[in-house]
Amino acid sequence: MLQLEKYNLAFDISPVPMLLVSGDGIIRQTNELLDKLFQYDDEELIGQNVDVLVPDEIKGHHHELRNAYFRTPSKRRMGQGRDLAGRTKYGDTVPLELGLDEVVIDGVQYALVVTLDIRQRIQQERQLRLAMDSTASAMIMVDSGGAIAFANHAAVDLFGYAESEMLGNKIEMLVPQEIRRVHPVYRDSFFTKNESRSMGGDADLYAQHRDGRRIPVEIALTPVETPNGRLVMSTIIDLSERRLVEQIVAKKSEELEQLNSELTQFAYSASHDLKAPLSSIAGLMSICMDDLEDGNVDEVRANLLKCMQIGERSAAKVEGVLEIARVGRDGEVRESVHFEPMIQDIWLDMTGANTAGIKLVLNLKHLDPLMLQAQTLKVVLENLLSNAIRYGDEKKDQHCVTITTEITDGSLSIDVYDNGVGISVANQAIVFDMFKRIDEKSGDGLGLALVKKQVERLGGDITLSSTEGEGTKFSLLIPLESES
Amino acid sequence: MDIPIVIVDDQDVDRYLVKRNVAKTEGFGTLIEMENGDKFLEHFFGEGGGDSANDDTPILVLMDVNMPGRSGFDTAELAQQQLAEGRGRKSLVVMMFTSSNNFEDKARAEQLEIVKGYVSKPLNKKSIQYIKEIYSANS
Repeated sequence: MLQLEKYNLAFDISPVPMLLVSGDGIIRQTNELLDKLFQYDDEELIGQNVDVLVPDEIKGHHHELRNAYFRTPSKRRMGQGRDLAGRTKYGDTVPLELGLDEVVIDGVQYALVVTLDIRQRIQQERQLRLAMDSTASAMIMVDSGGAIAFANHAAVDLFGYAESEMLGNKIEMLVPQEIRRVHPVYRDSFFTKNESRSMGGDADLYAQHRDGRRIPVEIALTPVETPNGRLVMSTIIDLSERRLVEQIVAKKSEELEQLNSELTQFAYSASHDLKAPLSSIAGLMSICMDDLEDGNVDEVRANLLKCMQIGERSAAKVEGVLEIARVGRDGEVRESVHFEPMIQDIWLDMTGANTAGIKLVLNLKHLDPLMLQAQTLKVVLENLLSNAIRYGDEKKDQHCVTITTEITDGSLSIDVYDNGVGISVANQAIVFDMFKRIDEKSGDGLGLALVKKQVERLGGDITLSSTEGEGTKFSLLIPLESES
Repeated sequence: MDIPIVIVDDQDVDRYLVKRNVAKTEGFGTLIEMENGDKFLEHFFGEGGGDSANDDTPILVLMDVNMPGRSGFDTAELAQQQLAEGRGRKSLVVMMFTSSNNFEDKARAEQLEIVKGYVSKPLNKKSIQYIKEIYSANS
């Protein structure tokens, strides 16, 4: 039996479509499955050039490719990694995977072509791809060498690289700089263990965007067996928004806690400080009743006068509390402020003509004018200067208040220093609290509470340093530009 | 015997009111005014206070809570420490005296052994009666 006949038999029982082509490109043998695949009648293809099965777009150079194959024949699969296709009798295109084998029959060289209809596979792949692209989570497949084999749309969106920029590159391109070197070790160990897990454990995990930005992420790893070997599918969830929301919530609850504690503090203080004068008035009135009955009119007059004074003081105090409560509600616009004349005005108001024993020293290193919330700043400085003037130290020859300004990093720093009696360490902790009166010279205990609130509303900061017997320095830092 | 009384309060008006109320009530004796806790501590626990340390006539002390500097509670606490260390005047019947009906303050008053009562400002017939009762219960 001629060898070719033996091949005929093998062709007929083959479960896959195949054909035999001679060096001149003529089809010498086909099986039924192949005829059917390309929609030809039985044996209709025999004697025709193999180019009839090649799609028009590559027909032009297929001839050369075929010649090249016959010069250096080898066993190989065609079309791996790219789309190959065949052309049916009626011009339809069929996606194919081809295997080429060199065979020599009766001394003649042939190419044995095995075809694989991959229409169904392509359809499945397409659906899978569609599904993956439509998920919100970024998905990236990596091979055992760490090269990216697949990236869905969400991954492209998340990392800012085009799909083509990622494919074939190491996954480490998406890993933050500081762990790029160790990441391949983790990766290898995952491939060895081969079980699904989430990455990073409880530690915060970050991926790196093309622009270098770090993205907080959660990553699940799943090994996937594919015809091309084992891959790892990583599903990456972007936590940026969640983190942002968490931060906002944390900040809000901190603010609420702060407000709550302020309210508790306020209720406590109010129970003492706002109620006390009313109790006094009630007490005085009761005494007045007694004195009226006794006809002690002078005493009644004196006590009624006291009632009036207490009433007036209390009204002022309530006004002060309201002023603090209003801070933060009425925003003030910035205006051009000439700092030096403003200070001089306040100083004159406070000391009047009586400037004999007290000296103001200005050490202004900024240039007027500044864009500031003038009224707020004025209230702050009035309170600080009022304290500085009131707490002079009689043991010193000269009572001196020094104001130093400077501009650093877009903020105006103002130091108000007095060489007065100073504030004890214990009292430094409470001077900014509402209603806290340190001694008999204290006002109603609202001034510094108001100052602190106002400074904070300006986005600034106030600190205090003091040594008893030496003096006190309040340091303000006020931003010159509003946060946007 | 008339009750000797000490009022520790920074407010002139409140000291005056105690003075007047006590004056029209029978049973009270000498009244000493002190405008802060330091003066109280100095008087009964300071160096000069030693003279009266062994005088066992109980003295009623009305202690204002809210004072600039050392508060009434801080003052009472310091007095209690001194007593625990065996110094100062033992026979004191201290009562916190405040316009606040604050829960925290009442709780703190109960915590202090030296504090025997809690009286609201201003004084009236009822609270004066209460003060007398507490005094006799502790003397």
